[in-house]
Amino acid sequence: MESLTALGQGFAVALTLTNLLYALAGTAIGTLVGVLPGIGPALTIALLLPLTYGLEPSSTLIMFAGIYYGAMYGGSTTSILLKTPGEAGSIITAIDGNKMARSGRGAAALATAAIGSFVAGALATAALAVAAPAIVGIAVKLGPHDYLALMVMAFLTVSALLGRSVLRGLVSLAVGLVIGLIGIDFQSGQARLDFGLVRLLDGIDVVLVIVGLFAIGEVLYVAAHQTGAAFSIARFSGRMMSREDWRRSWKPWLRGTAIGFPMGTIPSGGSEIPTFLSYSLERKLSKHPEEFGQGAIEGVAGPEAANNANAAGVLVPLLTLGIPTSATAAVILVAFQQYGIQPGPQLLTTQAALVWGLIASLFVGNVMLLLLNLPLVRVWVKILQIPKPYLYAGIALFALLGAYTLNGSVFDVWVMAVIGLLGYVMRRFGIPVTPLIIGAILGPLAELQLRRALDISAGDLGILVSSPFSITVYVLLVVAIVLPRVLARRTAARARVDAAA
Amino acid sequence: MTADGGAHAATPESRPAPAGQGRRRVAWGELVLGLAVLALGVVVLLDARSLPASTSASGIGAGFFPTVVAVFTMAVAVALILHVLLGGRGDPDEGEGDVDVAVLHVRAALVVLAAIAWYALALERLGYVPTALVTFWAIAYALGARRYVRDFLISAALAVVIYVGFTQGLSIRLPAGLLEGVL
Repeated sequence: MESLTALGQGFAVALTLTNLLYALAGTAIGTLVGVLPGIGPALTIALLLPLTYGLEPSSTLIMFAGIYYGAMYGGSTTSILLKTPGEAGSIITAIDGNKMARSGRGAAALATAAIGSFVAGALATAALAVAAPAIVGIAVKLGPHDYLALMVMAFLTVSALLGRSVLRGLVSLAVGLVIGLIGIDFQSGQARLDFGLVRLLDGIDVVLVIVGLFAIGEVLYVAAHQTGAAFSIARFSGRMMSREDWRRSWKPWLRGTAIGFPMGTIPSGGSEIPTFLSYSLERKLSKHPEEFGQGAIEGVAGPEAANNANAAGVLVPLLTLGIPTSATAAVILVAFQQYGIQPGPQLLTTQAALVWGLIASLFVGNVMLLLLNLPLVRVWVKILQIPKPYLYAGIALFALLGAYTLNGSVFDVWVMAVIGLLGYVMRRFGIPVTPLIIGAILGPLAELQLRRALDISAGDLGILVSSPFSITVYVLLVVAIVLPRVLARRTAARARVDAAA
Repeated sequence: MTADGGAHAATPESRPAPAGQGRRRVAWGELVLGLAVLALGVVVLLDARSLPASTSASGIGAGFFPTVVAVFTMAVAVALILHVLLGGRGDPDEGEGDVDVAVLHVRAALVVLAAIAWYALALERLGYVPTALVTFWAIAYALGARRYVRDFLISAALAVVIYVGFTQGLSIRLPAGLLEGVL
């Protein structure tokens, strides 16, 4: 098999001593930062971007692979012990995980999350290695109008499926699209929305948007509305997994993987839906559905596996089509773009060593994380002892540092401050931030495809729905918006009823 | 800053009231937010209309996509305004733990904003270490740190470690300012 040989070469890249060290550094830093409350994987990667400015592309991406998976692991630790998920995919884990921790089974909850993440990560990365070349085979045949259809799908599914309000998702998307417009038009050279500021001609860097929304927005939100200056941490206690825990965990791990990966590969909007689906499936299959919401280990094992498998699945559209479908994928896309690499169907041929090195590093990082996390979880938990004021002041300081080092310009610090205020307002009024990020990064790419398509058709809008592929996508889009919403509503409603009971 | 002004002006009004009661009152914060988004759409539309016509094959130039975005933005803004007027409310973010929007520390939020503004104003004048020191100290204070001496020492240590680590370790330039030649 061709992809097997390519993957072998990828391992040859990933297993050099230097790159192993970068992978180790990435996993360690990723876990370290991911454990910090309120910092999800997207913000972790965005904050750590400055660390890689001096590195070469392959080492950078290998480090990112480690940071990505590390941040996912670290995030589940925080959800379980602190009940501060920090991102949509961990909300479900926090319900039963935190209950387990509070009833003295924290170690078992963390172990099933870690091992489940490992199993899901390994299987889903393998699926990624198989799926990516297959999808590239299709992707190279697509025209600009087909890409536009996929991007419209990404826009609408991300906006409509995240959060509880479609309307607020669309508001967020609209603001993101506007941010994406700022700067010089790539085709005509016209300045758009620059308000006479020279600094705005290059557009607003997506890293500023992400770090501003997540970090500054959150620090403002917590400062304005915190109820106490300390976290309430569940003690890390109890034994690791018992034989019974293993017996109850392994099937949810596999089922979670089976749900999470495919839902990541289609532009279906984040990890919230697959984790909800996994949770409701496990409860349906369980002999003790009444335990769900009270600390059922299946309710941690399944969604955690789904969350991690989803994280690997998201890389499929990112690497093969250049379409990010989560905030984290958007940050990885930015990292690629910083080296002048535009992910898309050509990436696997033009940058084969890079991509397969990345995929191989995901395998390596996954193993490292298991080794790093199971014995060292007590060390990571110590990080949660950092007093809350220092933690948030530190987050703000690193965000501001990142803003400045981006271009060595204070103007970017001001931009981040404004975006941070926007982030506060969005949190306060329940407007999800991911659609904004997707809009800001994917908007310019969608415009490019739209104008290419219309240049081909000499301005005839009919070209947009001229191929079977684009028509299929638009039809699926309608189905995709209606169906999971119904499912998620049912699941969410039930989960909430349970949590209340 | 319309969005900001709206949030501050409106927060007391939009406290989540117990179920049922208060739902009928107008949520000023969200209303102002909707109006701000509407204004944003208008600005984008005006900007798009001011761009010169295209000379490309399709006759579609720099203004086409912004016009689409502007119309979309105005449409969702109007929908949001109507939604809010009909009693719809957003659920404040609950993902962070120990946060309740019924509690409002205006001063703490303003201290954080001031600390960020200080960072932007002082960074290239005073240099990284003194600027970051004050920023960290002030934000920690805003979030409830009250052991001033310990807070100060940690701020100073962190600022120095970041400065040395980034400039020496990662070769990323940060302004030296007052400490030019010292570190």
